[in-house]
Amino acid sequence: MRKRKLKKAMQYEIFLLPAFMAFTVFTIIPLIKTIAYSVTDFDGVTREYNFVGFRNYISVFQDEMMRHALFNTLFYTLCTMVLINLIAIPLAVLLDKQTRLKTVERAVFFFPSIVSALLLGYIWGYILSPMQTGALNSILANFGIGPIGWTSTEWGAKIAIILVAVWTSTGWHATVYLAYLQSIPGEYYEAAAIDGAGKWQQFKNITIPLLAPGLTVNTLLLLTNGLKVYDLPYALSNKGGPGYSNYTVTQMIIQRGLSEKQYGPSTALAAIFILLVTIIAGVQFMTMRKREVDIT
Amino acid sequence: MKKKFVAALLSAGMVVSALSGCGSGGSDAGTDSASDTDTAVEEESSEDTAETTAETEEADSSEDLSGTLTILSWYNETNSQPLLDGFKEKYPNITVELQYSPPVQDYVEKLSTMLYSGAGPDIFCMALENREDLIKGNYCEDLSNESYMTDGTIPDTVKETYGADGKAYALAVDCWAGGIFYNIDLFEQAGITEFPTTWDGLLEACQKLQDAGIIPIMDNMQDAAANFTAPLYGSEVKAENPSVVEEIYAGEKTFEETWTEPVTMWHQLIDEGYLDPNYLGSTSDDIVTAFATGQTAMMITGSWNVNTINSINPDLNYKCMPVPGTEDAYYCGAVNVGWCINSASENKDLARAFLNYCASPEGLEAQYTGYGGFTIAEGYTPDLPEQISDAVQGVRDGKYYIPMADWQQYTESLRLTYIQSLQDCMAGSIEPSEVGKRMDEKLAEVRQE
Repeated sequence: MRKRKLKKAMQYEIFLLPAFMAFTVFTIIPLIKTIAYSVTDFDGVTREYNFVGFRNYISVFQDEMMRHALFNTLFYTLCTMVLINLIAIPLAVLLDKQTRLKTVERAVFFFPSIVSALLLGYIWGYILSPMQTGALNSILANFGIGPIGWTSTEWGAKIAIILVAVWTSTGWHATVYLAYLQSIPGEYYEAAAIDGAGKWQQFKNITIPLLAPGLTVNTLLLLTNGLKVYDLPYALSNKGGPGYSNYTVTQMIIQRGLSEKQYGPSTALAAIFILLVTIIAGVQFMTMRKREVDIT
Repeated sequence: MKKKFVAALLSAGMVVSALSGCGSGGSDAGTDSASDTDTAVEEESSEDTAETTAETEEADSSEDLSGTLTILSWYNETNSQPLLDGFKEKYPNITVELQYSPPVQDYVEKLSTMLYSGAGPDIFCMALENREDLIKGNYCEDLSNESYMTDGTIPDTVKETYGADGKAYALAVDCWAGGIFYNIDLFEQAGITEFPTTWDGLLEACQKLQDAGIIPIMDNMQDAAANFTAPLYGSEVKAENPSVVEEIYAGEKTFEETWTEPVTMWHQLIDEGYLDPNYLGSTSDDIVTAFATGQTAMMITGSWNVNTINSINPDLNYKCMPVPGTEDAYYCGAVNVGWCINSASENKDLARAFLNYCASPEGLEAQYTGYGGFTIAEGYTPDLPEQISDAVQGVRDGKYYIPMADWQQYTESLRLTYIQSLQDCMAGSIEPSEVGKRMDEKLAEVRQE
């Protein structure tokens, strides 16, 4: 009887095998190797390396560049998470309206998320170019303004990166909210209207609480994507410049490891970062799940 | 079968070795007499050399060689085509599989990953950025005894750039040259009839241009190879003390002591308003286009942009001048990347044939046609574009400086720190003296690791 049960279970488990193997080869093994290299002086060139204890971990916290990259990454994540959620929810409500052009409207807002972030970074780099021939500066020149070095300073580049990221991703996240919005029964709104609730009260007391699962999903996605961001800041700010002022943690890991051949500090930073992402994502997920339960 | 072939090849090597020994005896009694008293070790070494010679001769018999040769190239397929076509014509039975990876960072990363994982190509490129790793990791065949290295085809500067401990690891046949590209018409419009030969003269020229309503210089400080500070270091520091970098590595001097002067000189351009820090946000293509369309009188770049400028504006009247220092003027420039044979390659005979072809007059011409680097190897003299000819001559005369060629250790870490610090200095977030200080800190940090 038990044997038959096991056999039946195995029939299903076997379908998991390809995904499990791919996950092991591309995620689990590199993760274990990352942690192993982080306590060595491995340089990626010679095959000999020595155990160095926690020296690489200490160097991560002593390195100003790494601290700066960590700040940039957290700042980017926080700003994009808040701004995108703030814009995407009302946008989803607007896109949910039954207008004649609703398909076109949805497509227009969804489109920027299809293009690769790297490509968008280069396109926006041209728009925000400090040259007289830059797209925005040529328009401003007609009014006798500029040219302005939009991305030539640390904070100019930082703000540009965040605004472009918000422009790129808002439509995609609004689509997720739209899916959740469409699952809210219309009767709730009808009942609320009969009870005398206005549009704002309906939005506050029906829409927002029932969008809580969507908020959990979107926030988690924005958090994890934000923490591992690399392509957009790299392309838009001339490889994280000026200087290293707009470096992100991922860029630091790549530069230290692959370019500078300092695999020890690079993998130590990666290990610390994995831990940090796990904690942040875990806390966020549990908090929002609890909130969802409380609301329902 | 393979073992038998190798054994036969080695035997052939021994026979050719003996024959070549007899041959040289006839022409040089001194060598003959010396070879009589050779020790066993030296005999072994001469056997190795003879074996190499035999294999080289084997490689020359183009009909006998066949197989597949893999190359990871720094140059794209289009630019590599003339060389590949020429090689195919000479060695019809060798199939070349060329993979391209764009320089610098992508190439260096891809190659190091391939080599470390044991999947390296038979031939790859050595650049200043990966020289240290390739030599340290024993990934390259020693080319010191190859005919092109010993018969004067390849100049000593290549062996110095891509060698260590008296061995040469890469075959580089050309160089690039650069400096201040200046628009002659805009200079004349501002009343400047001759290009400045001193630093003060350059500042005066910038003022005249600015007074005439012309943007004097555009630069975004993205390039560690072609910028103002490197040639200034050459003329102000290196010319005075050729061993300055060795002294820094030995702890007798610091980067801060030696780099502050050239960085401060360059910073005058920013302080005086001739170089706008806003260009930090621009791309190199933006600046080249601006120069080609007459929006700026000067920019600093290398010979690789000559074709782009000419294609944007074929009528532009421009030339390349050195960066003037207080007494001397230096160009930017360096030996281009060189071909290496993978020490773990199973196709070394094919790889040697390829490198021999690259060093031949036909190979040199094909590389000039495809890659556009200025040939420094003997055997082919290209017609240089008029705009850059003085710069190439300057590089041939040794009037150039590129820091990465001097930094024999931790090159990439220092290069990144150097260029990032210059950008920060241009943005005004650090003082000129801090550029060298950061490099000192970086050197100390990487040495500790």
